[in-house]
Amino acid sequence: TTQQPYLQCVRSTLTAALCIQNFACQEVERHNKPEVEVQKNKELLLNPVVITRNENEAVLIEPSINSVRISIKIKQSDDLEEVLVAKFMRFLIQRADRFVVLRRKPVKGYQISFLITNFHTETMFKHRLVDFVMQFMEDIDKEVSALKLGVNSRGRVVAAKFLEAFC
Amino acid sequence: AGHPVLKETVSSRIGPANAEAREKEIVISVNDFDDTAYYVQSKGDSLTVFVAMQNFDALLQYGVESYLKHVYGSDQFALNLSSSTVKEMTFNFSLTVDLAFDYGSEAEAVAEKVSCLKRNVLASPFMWYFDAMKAGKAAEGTIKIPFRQNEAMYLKKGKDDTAIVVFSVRFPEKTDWVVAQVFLREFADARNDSGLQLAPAVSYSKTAPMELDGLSVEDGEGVCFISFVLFKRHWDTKVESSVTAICQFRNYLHYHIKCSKAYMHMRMRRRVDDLLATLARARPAAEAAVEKKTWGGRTCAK
Repeated sequence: TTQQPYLQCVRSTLTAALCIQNFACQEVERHNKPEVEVQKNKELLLNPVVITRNENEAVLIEPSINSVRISIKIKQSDDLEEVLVAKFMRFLIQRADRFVVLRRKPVKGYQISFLITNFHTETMFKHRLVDFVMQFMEDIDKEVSALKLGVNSRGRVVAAKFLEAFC
Repeated sequence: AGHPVLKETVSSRIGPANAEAREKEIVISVNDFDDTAYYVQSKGDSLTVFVAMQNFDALLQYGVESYLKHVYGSDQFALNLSSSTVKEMTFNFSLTVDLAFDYGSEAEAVAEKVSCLKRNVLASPFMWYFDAMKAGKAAEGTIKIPFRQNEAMYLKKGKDDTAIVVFSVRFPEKTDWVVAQVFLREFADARNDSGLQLAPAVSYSKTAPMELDGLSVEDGEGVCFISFVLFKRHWDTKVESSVTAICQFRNYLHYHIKCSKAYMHMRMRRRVDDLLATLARARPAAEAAVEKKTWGGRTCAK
């Protein structure tokens, strides 16, 4: 299975990318913007990295001087998984203000995105932030498979109970 | 299988034991999700239920009158199958029950019978058709039983003593349709299970099956046709329970789809809480927990 090396790679890349510091906006006085979202000055942006497990699973990490954007493409192998992932992502994104580091709109081509700024790393431990993102990735996969299993087993019971009336 | 409000109303007022409850006049107006309206009026010793159903007039041609008269034939029931108006609402038919009669141990069964009014109306076309099949005089061609605003049931005699029932069901949302597909796949595969060999054969498709050729059927996004092939025992010996199940199928399916969605929401909420707990661990312990003191020993307490 390629899951362990994949997650290990994401973890080490993330730890390296999260070296961010405060950087005031160069264009506008007194403003402080996450440079990865603004994307105006090439000298402030680092090379984006895509870690791909297969064509359905990938992680895009876009670092910059004061912020990092992490986008995750989640495996969806059939209709039901697509619907479940879409529902779950929508559920999480609607609660983005509680998850401080979540972005309210995923980057195009991905299902969910995080935006971590220097202010977050100032108030939270960096290694724990990385732990959180890794836990998130594992949890989504577990949750989607659990939900799919739930729907399938419910279907079996529903069909059996109904058809018993005829036997 | 019956309507819980109707059943409770009748069973709380029926028989000599509930004479006191009967002294209070009540009026109850209930509407089901498929736009069936009930109006219950009870003064003293009799209780009248007025019912308005979608497409009732179309159902009358399928033996509704004779079946209802057969079920509610005893002296304690009075069935009125003409339309009546009560307080500016029109109803298709009404049933009056004598509450003062001593039903003995049958009281619960009477309450159940009253609550099954809608089921009995919907079951009538099936009973009428199956009686004709037993006599060998079933009509050729498919009959259409409209039962919701834009959904219907179709009934046709199949080969070798089988009867085919086709439902046209609508799934307005994509999530509903995807979950329904999982359920319907299980329905279709259920006969492989050893305990369910005698169950009807189920199949589904997004296009109308050939039994419906030539009829104007529902169409549009989200319409699915589900076919049940009923064997002889289903319409001959086990007809009552089979027909009850058939009449309730569409509601049963939708109810379980909604239960699935509720379960998914519950799990997602739990997962959100878990993730938030993980994130909370990232914050260092609050600094306010440490009381600040100056060198001289004074604190910043207010």
